[in-house]
Amino acid sequence: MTIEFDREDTIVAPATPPGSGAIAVVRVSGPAALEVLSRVFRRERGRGRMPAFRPVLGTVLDAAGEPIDRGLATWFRGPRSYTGEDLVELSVHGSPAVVRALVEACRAAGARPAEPGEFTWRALRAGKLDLAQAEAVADLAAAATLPQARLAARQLSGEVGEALAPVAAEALDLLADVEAGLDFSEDEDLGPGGDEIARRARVLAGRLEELLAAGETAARVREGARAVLLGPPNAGKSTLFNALVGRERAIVTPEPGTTRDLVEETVVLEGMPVILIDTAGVRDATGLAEREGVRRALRVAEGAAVVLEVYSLAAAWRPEGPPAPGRLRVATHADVPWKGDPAPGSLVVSPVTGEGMDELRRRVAEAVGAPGTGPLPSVALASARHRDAAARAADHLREAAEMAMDAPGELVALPLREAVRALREILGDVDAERVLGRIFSRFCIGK
Amino acid sequence: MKRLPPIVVVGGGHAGVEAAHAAARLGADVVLLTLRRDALVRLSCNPSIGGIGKSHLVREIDAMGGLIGLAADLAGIHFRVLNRSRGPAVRGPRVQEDHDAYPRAMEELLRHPRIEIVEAEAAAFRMQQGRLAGIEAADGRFFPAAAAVITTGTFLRGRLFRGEQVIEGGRIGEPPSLALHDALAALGLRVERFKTGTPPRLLRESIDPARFEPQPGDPEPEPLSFLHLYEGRFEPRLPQLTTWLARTNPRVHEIVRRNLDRSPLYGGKIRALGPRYCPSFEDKVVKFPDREQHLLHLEPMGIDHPWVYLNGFSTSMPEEIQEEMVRAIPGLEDVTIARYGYAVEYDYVPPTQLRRNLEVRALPGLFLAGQICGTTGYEEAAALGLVAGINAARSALGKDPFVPDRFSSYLGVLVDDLTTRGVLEPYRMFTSRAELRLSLSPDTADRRLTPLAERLGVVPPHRAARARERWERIDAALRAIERDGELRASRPTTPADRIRRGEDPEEVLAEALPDGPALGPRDRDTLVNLVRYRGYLERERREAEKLRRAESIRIPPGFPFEEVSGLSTEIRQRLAEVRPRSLGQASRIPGVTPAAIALLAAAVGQGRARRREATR
Repeated sequence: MTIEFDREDTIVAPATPPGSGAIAVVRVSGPAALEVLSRVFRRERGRGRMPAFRPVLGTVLDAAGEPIDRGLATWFRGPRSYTGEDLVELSVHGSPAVVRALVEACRAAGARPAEPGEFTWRALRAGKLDLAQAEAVADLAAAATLPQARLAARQLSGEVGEALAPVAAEALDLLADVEAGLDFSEDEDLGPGGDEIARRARVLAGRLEELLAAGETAARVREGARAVLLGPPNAGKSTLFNALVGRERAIVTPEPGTTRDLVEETVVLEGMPVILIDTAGVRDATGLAEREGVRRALRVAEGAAVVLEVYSLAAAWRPEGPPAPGRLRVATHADVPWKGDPAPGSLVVSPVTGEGMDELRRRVAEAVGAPGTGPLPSVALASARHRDAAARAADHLREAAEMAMDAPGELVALPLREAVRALREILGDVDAERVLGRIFSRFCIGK
Repeated sequence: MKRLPPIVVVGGGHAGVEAAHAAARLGADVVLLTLRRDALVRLSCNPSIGGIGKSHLVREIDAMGGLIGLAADLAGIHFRVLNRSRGPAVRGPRVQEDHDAYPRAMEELLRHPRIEIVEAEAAAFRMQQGRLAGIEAADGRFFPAAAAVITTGTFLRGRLFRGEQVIEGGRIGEPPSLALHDALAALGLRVERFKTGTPPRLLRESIDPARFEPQPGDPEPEPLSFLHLYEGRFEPRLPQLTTWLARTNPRVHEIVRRNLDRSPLYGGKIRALGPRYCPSFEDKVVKFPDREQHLLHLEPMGIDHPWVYLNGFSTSMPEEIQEEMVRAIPGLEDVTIARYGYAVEYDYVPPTQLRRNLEVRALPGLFLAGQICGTTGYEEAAALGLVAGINAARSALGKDPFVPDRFSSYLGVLVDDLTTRGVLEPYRMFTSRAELRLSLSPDTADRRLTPLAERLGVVPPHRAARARERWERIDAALRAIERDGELRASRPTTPADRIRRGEDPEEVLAEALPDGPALGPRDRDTLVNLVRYRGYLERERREAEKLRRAESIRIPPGFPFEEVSGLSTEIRQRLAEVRPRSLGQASRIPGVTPAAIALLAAAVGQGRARRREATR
């Protein structure tokens, strides 16, 4: 976390991701927020003091004072605001040009462009959010698609804690029982037997694993998936890419080797954000830049959820054998004369006529495990950090279960402590005092 | 060179004698003030030293040249290792002591040319230029002091309760210490009350041992002190006795229930909190109503001592009720109570007001140790005495504070828990308090602490040499069976691997080290543990690295915790009181959330940036 933010000044930033949606929100926070507002926004009705906590209609101005849009402004008077400071939200039409001009106008009026996460940071500083919520907000802000936004909203409401808390409480109980057997053995026979420890640890590991499995789809939605277009030069990858994206994103020429670097764009396929990546055609390239492009293409294909193996029916070359797992074979240029039959397992498409394009989208969505449009699975363990911690906890519990029958108590306690510590990374404070508290509340201890 | 005034130690219990002796070992002159010259180092409660968690402290104190382990071994009449089967890091050797021989052994060990013992009641502090200059006694005498350690135990405004009776006193038959309370309060210190209790003592001749299950000591007594461990074989000085197990029954519990209104605990006389793990018998009955029986231990108080300690039966009921309760225990129908149980309420100073060298933040040169810091137990008191004594001497000489590290010692866990987390009940050591329990195995205390103690000057070189020799032998054997440094192209199985795979270590070692370094049986156990636990110790080492990283983010002295914005008032107050010196320490303060730590990190970082700015 960047922690050396200046805290006294006024900051501005778009609060919605660029280029996505009809409405964009620009936020200004800090002591000069109202003053900035007065320079970039003219109310349609009313004079004098701006009312707080109520959207007001008006004209949005650029840095030169020229009207650029109509919009709504809301003043959240500090400390009753997201950041705890005076905060103004301006809702304008979502054109990137308008947003850019408005932010520029705010800057001219004295606000500083915010660092990434700085609004959330100020909220945290004002005690408005805890860390888990802050993380959720950061995700919400970055959410490019609706399913992602839904996930983020659920996490914000504390659902993570609700799903995990009982598991964590039982893991703590188990640890407390084992610790009681170690620290108070002289009192009574307190510690549970090895078979009981093993059974309870296994049950808990199983429940974590279930939560992990259920959250996997959710995690995929959250992380998004990468689909890489790979193939020989001039196979029509960029044309296909532009067709899938729905606009002229990649430069297309009849020249082989036009695309030299990676070109990325996110599309939503059946509820799943898919990052499409167009690459340089793979051939024995002559130019230095192109050679680098080919190298990058091959590397990015390694980490992709699915690789679209693209070739042109208008060229003589055909891929050999059946497509490898994780690969979709796409024969393009269906609308021009073919030089021979498609290779086995090919999906024949034409971006020009639209032939096969719906089927291609469907297959890509299937290959990346899109959730479809039905209800989302359990969101409990969607964030990579939470999943990682829960998976470690499950592993430690399994290890404890395996050791419980033979190993001395102090060794069994080690993975149990590690499991509880891992769960603490998600849920917060669990320390020795809590473990002792559990022991004392349940056992009569002491000579 | 002008001679420094002495270190004044107030109190002659476990904390006081360890503090006095540690300061004397460091070369300071020491004056030990005690209310009664003839009542040093009494075992006011249970007649035993050690056990789980506590023996861990004893071994560490001993590794730093302290007295408690030696005295316990010399006066031991029953040696038993608890937790033998649960692993080396939690095994807890415990020694029953001869009630009279123990203080005699301590006095013998305490004898030091630089220590003078004086009967006096400390009453007030005298200050000079914001630092402690001396202690005024109640009788008007003045004791100049370069630094002082206060160890009042349960004597500070001590008040004893038994039924309707209330007696001012620190221990039965001895007056309390009253004046110091005002002196401490005058420094602006918060002073609060804790309570504890003690069970009745029974007349030994009125008990028929045949009615109880005997618990003999171990056939091969394990001593607490490394000096005795280094010898190989340990022979106790005194004859060995057995203890017995007894059990209560519903009749006993019913008597308690019927008379609860006569208990000062439940009658409302005592409001202070007592330890949950050492509850009064009244508490056991009330909080666990379903239990049909509770386990008790009958512990003879010495070879010739006429009394038996009824361990597990702490009570402050009126005398006639105690009589009724005890006689309802099967086997004790005709018993005579020699001294009735009682509860004691006393002052302590919440230890978050101390620096991590146990110095009172409000008065440099003044140190606290023992129960006044909110602990319970001889071993905890002795540990704090050692740390305070070392620091008093170092402070007098203008040297850096000695702060034991919680990731390499129970001494560190103790001091850090007290000064960072504070206490809600009398604090006792448990192995579950140590994050790195396996690494703090008591048999390695001399490796972890004796070299450090030598550098501090608190153990003599010849003793440090013995620790070094022991570990050279163990390390050499370890290298031989792990074959460290040997080029192993095909990685054949080493003898250490065979031990880890479960082969009999005796056989493997006999084969691998036919004429290798001679290891005694205990050193061989340590060696085998190190081999078996290698992977687990490695895991703890990685955890330690993580913990130490948080510890390395320092908070500058004088940091304005009050001004960190965004923190709740409560958290701000906690931080301002504890004044953590690192983010790691701050994160251990109860109630301090991860979000608060993030804010604190930001504020500390900002302060740093601002200072950089200023010096540019």
